[in-house]
Amino acid sequence: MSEELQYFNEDAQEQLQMMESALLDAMDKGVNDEYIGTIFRAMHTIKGVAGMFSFDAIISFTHIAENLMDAVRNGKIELDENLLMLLLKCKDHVSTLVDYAVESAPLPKNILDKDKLLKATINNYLQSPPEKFVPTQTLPIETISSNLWHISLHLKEYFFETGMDLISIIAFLKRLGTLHSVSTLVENLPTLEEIDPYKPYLGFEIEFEGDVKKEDIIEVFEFVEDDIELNVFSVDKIQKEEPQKEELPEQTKPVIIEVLQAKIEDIQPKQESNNKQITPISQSLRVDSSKIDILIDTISEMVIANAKVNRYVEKYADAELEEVAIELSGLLEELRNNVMNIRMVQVGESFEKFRRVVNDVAHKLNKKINFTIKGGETELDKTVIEKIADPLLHMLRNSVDHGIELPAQRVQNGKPEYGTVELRAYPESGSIVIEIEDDGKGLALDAIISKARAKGIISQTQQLSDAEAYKLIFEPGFSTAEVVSDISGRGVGMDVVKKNIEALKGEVALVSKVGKGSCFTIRLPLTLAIIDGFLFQVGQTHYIIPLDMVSEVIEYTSEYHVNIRESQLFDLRGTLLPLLDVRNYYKELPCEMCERQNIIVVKYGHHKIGLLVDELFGEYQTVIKPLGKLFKNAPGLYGASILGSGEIALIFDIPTLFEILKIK
Amino acid sequence: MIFESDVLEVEEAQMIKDALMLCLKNEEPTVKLDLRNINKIDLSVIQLFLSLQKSLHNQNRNMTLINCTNSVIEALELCGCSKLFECTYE
Repeated sequence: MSEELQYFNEDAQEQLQMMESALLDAMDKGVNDEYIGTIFRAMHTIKGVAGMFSFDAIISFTHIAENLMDAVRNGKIELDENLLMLLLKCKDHVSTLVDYAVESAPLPKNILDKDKLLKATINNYLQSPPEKFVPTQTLPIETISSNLWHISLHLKEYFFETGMDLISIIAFLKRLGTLHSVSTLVENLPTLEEIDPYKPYLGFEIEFEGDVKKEDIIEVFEFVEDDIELNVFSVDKIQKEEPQKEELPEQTKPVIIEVLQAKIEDIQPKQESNNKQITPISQSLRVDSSKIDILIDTISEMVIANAKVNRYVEKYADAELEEVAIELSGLLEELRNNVMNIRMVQVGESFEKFRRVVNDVAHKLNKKINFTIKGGETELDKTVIEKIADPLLHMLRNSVDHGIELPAQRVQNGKPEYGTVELRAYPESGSIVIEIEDDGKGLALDAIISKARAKGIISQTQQLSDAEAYKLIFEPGFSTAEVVSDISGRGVGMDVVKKNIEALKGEVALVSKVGKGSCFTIRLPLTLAIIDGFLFQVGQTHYIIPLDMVSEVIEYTSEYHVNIRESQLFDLRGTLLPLLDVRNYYKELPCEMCERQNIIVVKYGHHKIGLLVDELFGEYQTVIKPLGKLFKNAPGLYGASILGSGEIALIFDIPTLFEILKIK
Repeated sequence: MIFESDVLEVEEAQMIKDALMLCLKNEEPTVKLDLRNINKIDLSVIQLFLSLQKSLHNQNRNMTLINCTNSVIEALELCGCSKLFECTYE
């Protein structure tokens, strides 16, 4: 796909997403001008850009949809629930048209049929709008339609770098009316010897006729507005009748002068404000995410190289070199954080897509649901967001399908008719927590355990804690649904959900109360590439844990030692916490050089454990590298990092360590 | 001079300029640019053709576009350049 097509595709999908959010908001909170404006703009913008690529199917459909929204905007058609549902279908249809257009694939018969049907339905609305009183009003000068226009156009220095072709834009303008003439201004054109082939030197004077408003013409050029100088003038009847002006009655003259005055005033402030708005650099830049991945890889290598430099600094004890090395490390850390921040994306945009799913599923199942999103501003690595979308979708479907009861049943149980499903995200000690909570019927522990026994997932005599019992729903082949529906409940989803989340080094848990509802909690790492780590040594091996998870570090002395029934515990100011002797656990040889042992207190979620370790080195910028197959079954290890000395440090997988110690 | 590529766009503008520069060096009174293969041409390339024409005029020489496809003619009309070039078929 060419860069321009990719831009078109991304832009269209963004517009459609905004349209869908506005439609769903209008359904939930009621229609307002802002939502109507958003829906109109989506259709209008997609039509505009599609015009530049001559995507006729999209232009033709969005044009009708835009007319419909224009009628809604002008109060001629009411945006009721039926029309909102129709517009959701239109949104889906445009999305399909865009997919086919960017693939240059012909539209199959079923899509063409759908196109005809939707157009006919829209036309039905447009032809027989319900009668509505529209008060007479004086139109402001800029909304006066005129047929003849003069368009003056000059290209700025970087026009060709926009990737937009002026010829396609003029072709699109031609679709709105008739091009009477296009004159090319070549005064500034250099000879071939002198020309910079990437700079534009031409200007254009266009005579255009069409039943359009001035802003319609300006909008044709809106995608290159920063890279052109554009002036649009109406060549209206006043000018055409100029030779006859002596014949005009005297009293019409002030009116003409007033109109011209208004037009001049209209043009001048706009030109001034346009000048103010023009900035040399656009505020946002679309970059292929693979380019950022390459940047992160390069920075990762720089971090490792910098660690080597620091090692030499320590070795040669040169004050000047040390100063430079400290400055370099600081700059590198800043660069790393800035680049990592580019990858951080607010989860809200991705969460918004789920509203449609919840809405559709609820509609299909005749359920009434208030779906809310909280913490949409929480940031998470883009890769993590993309990979978490499917598991979240599945859990949300489950909540709506199996969790929320039918309205009548809810009322019978003394609950509000509308069920609540809440999707929220928030940061917590180096992780991001995502929760899906509903106020549905909840899950009965007895039912889960009986089902697991019946399916042979657990033995008949096996006793489980509540947390362990809830985890059974993530076992392969487990389904508590009495009726298998096409929404969820085939028993092949939750185990895949768990696997996907674990692949992201995250974890998922469920708590539920019969009659009250359920809550899924997903805990995910902030990023998958570079972290601030805490470096330490056990025996002959270096280890790293994420710095955010380190609660405190203490020297291990006899005062902390507690030994109850062979369980390793330690006494932290009166609180007994589990202690993992890392040397013992990983069968490390004793560290001969180490003078003392230390406890690193690690916090994860609401729990703490201690790690008994040897030497401490402190904060360390850690580039996470995957472990080879050899380490596939090594418990509690997440990845590895290369130290400045070339040695390898193993990175602890803290959630798994907690699991090992049976904390939860 | 015949263009083999079917697309003449800004990405190849420098290469096209270099090729057109060769036309300035030969001594033919009329430079002919054969556009029979062109399905897409953008403004940056049309601008280069105009620029070549200006240089040729300075040398008292002419330029003709020959065998223009419909796409080329349409592009020239849309940007108002069709009347600035002499177009013929051979």
